[in-house]
Amino acid sequence: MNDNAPNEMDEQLRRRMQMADPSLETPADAPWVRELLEATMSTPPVQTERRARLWAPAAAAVAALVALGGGYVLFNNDGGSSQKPSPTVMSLALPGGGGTSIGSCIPFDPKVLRDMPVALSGTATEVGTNMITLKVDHWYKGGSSDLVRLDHYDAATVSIAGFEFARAKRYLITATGGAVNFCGYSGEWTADLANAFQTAFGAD
Amino acid sequence: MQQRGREERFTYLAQVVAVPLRRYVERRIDPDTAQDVLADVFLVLWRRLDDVPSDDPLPWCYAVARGCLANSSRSARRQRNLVQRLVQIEPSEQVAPPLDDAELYDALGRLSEPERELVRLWAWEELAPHEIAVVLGVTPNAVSIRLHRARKKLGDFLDPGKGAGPAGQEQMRERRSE
Repeated sequence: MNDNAPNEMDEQLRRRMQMADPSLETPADAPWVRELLEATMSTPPVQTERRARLWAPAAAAVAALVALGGGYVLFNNDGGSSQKPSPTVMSLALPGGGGTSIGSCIPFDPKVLRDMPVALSGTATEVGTNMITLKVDHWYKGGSSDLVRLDHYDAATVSIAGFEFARAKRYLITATGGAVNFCGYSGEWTADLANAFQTAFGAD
Repeated sequence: MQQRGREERFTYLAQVVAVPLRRYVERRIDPDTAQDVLADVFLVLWRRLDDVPSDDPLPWCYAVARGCLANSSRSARRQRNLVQRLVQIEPSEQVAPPLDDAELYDALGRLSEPERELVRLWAWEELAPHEIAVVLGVTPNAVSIRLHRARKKLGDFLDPGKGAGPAGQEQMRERRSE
């Protein structure tokens, strides 16, 4: 290459930078390449949501796809026309279940609420040790499933957010990137919060 | 293109570009986010497979990665502004510099972001100016001029005894917020 031929000082500089390269050497035949390849090619062409970490455990990738895919439809496909289809389920993750902690919150802002990609109202039908199921009574935005499953439930973490999940209670939930938002953007159903949702996402 | 042929072509492409792309991304963003960004890059390449140049695809792929990184940074910023559940006091978007050459990282930090990216593409990705031009979408001539200037500036920061004056003046002229 004769364009911009580097001199000796440039070469020294390049060598010094290469010594300080933050990227680690990675073998070209590492399993992650194959996993990434397969995960990519199995993605439907219209799939535009962010994918999970593809060289992390495959289960995490599957969970994220379900969480972000806008709902996961399960049908009883036994050919019987009288069979009712199973309820559709969207999975979302609760933050902080993996040992992280909630740090600080920005003040509640209706404009921020309006930008949330997922918003719904639903009643808890199941509160398990690490999972909650909500029966959705209204989708404000970002979904159409009958049920929403909240994974990685950790009661202690959720209680820090100022509320608790209990069976038969109704909640207003928002989520971003497949994860439920706290800090006032999700919580037990109250008229005030419902009004805020109504204002942010429009009328029924 | 038949699906099978498409998959074969993508598999071949991945063998060529996966490792350099991963390193490219890891050099510019924290490892956790890098995984997501690389997955996004691959999705774009898969969707746009017919557009990938068969001859020397890497600079083109770096350009895709650059776009995905920009998206990720924008979304991280938006997230920081929007999102209410902060799990870290200071979300790390940048690569944590190695401790063994803090002086170099300090000097790199004094370059503007466009200058820094030029130098990184030259030193870490080991691209020639005409390849850098593909990544950045500018002419090779512009790359040569700017790269020369950026290298000189970096060298002067590292060794202020040599020509610090002009570099300092350039720095004053060109320093811009990122």
